[in-house]
Amino acid sequence: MNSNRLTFSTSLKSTLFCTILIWGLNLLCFTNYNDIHLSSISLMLLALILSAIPIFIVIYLMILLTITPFYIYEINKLSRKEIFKKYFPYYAIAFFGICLFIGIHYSQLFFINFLISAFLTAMQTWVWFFNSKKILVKN
Amino acid sequence: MKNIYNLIAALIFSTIFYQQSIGLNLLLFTILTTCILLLTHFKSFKSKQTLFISCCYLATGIAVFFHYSTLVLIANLISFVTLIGSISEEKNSIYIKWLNGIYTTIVAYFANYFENENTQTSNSINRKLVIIHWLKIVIPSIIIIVLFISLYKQGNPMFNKLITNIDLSFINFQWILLTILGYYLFNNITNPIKIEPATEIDLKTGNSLNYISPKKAVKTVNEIQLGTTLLILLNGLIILYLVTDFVFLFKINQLNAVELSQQVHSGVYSLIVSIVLAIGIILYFFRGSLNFNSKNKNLKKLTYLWLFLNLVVSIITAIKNLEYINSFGLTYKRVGVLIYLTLTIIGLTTAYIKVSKIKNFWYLIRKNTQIAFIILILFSTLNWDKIITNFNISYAQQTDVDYLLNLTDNNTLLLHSYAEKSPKINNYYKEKINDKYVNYVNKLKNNTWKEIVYDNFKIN
Repeated sequence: MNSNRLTFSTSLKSTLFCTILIWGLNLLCFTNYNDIHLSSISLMLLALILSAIPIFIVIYLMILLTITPFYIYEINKLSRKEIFKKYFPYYAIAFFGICLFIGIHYSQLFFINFLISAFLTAMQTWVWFFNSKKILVKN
Repeated sequence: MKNIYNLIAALIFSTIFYQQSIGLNLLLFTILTTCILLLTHFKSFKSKQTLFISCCYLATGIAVFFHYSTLVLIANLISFVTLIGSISEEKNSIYIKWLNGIYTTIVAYFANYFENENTQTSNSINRKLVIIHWLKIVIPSIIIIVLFISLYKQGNPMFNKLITNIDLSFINFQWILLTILGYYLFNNITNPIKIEPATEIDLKTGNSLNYISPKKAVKTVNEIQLGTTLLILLNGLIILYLVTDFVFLFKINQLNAVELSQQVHSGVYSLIVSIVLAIGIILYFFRGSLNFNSKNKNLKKLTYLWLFLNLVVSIITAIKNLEYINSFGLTYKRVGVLIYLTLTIIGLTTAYIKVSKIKNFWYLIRKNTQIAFIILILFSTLNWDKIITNFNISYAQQTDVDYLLNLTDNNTLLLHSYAEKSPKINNYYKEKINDKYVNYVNKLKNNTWKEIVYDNFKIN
């Protein structure tokens, strides 16, 4: 698949994943369920849809700058699975280190939720990005 | 079965850590992790190395209960990661175990998921399709039900009252999230993975240099000449340095605190640079074919002499440091210098073995990281705050009470009993020590059972 198309399609999936995760975590941590009315739900849905736009831009840029280069550089020499196995461990450790560093300095719950969402999204993005066509092994 | 273990472990994890500070809970977590790993990877524990690492992990967990400090916490985390790495692949070097341990702990779920996705059986695809099918039913239903509840709440006051009266406050979502995090953690560590390229390279790399025939090694004559000249000059220089240092050592009693401190610190800094250079030069010259050249005997002797002279510099610095400690008491920095000197002596010994037994660069890295790990575990099991306080009030010629007051709470009970008994201490410090004691005792009394430490039993 073309790298631009792959970046775009993975960004869409990751945006949905990250938006649900970040909203879900913050709603679970900060919402008082007795105060929810229809008007607040419609506002919340609007905010959720609107928030997906900046999330998409950030994720698209992140994939383009930190994941696609590995794909472009290695795709002619290695299979997708091999690229994943070669670079994903170090990417994951570095990403976790950065999140941990920020988390120690800004330990408010909102930031922690944000960092958890960012970390899980980045890891799932790698899985989607390098997932090759499923090989069926008949039992 | 593994999932049941993970679920039970996750429930215990969130129960002992939710809104709690560190204490007995970390020891319980250490025991829990070891038990879960024993149940799920019993075979790995047959290896002596894994067994040793798990003992180190348990020792740091016990140390947290007896004297919690940042050093013990770091040692506990490092031994946890080492144990997980050892279960991933027990034959690896310790630094690869650290990498595998971190990788497993943080993302084993994703790596295993990727592996499954790329080698799926028809059964697992069917199972996945069933899950997706149910998710497609459940998620839209929940969204629509929530929407309609909100709609009816506005349309009917009775219905609104009924819904409002449903009290969901007993559900603690943060606790649930912590349980999910615990499940993720235990799921990761019970399904260990490894960084394949790094693990394979490490397993293939031995400790000895590949043999090169003496005929090919003849080409290194120029290098032997350069090495011999350089080491003669360096040995001469270090002997001159040692002579001046010995002269200084005889005058050590005439120096005041500031001068002695300056001398010890500059001695340590120069020693750091000297040792790094020494090992760097040795690694450069003894990197390959020179080791197999029959004319390398003089160079080897000069290298041994240089290593020995560096050892003497380390011992002189240790004497200066001990004199400093004797006069002005023990501090963390001075303990740090002693630890550094211990590591230096070990580093010089491994460098000697590298040259004499024709080992490679990886031998040095492997042995030194292993020893550094053991020293970290050994030193973290000691209650340094108590040792420092005990030494300073019992043996040091001068006691810096301000310094002792700034240490962690691990020395509070000892300091309090000292203030009560000693006539030397003035009222100003007695009051400050009492304040520290009262605050600490209050903190201990407020501890829940999950947060209790060994000192809790002392105050009762």
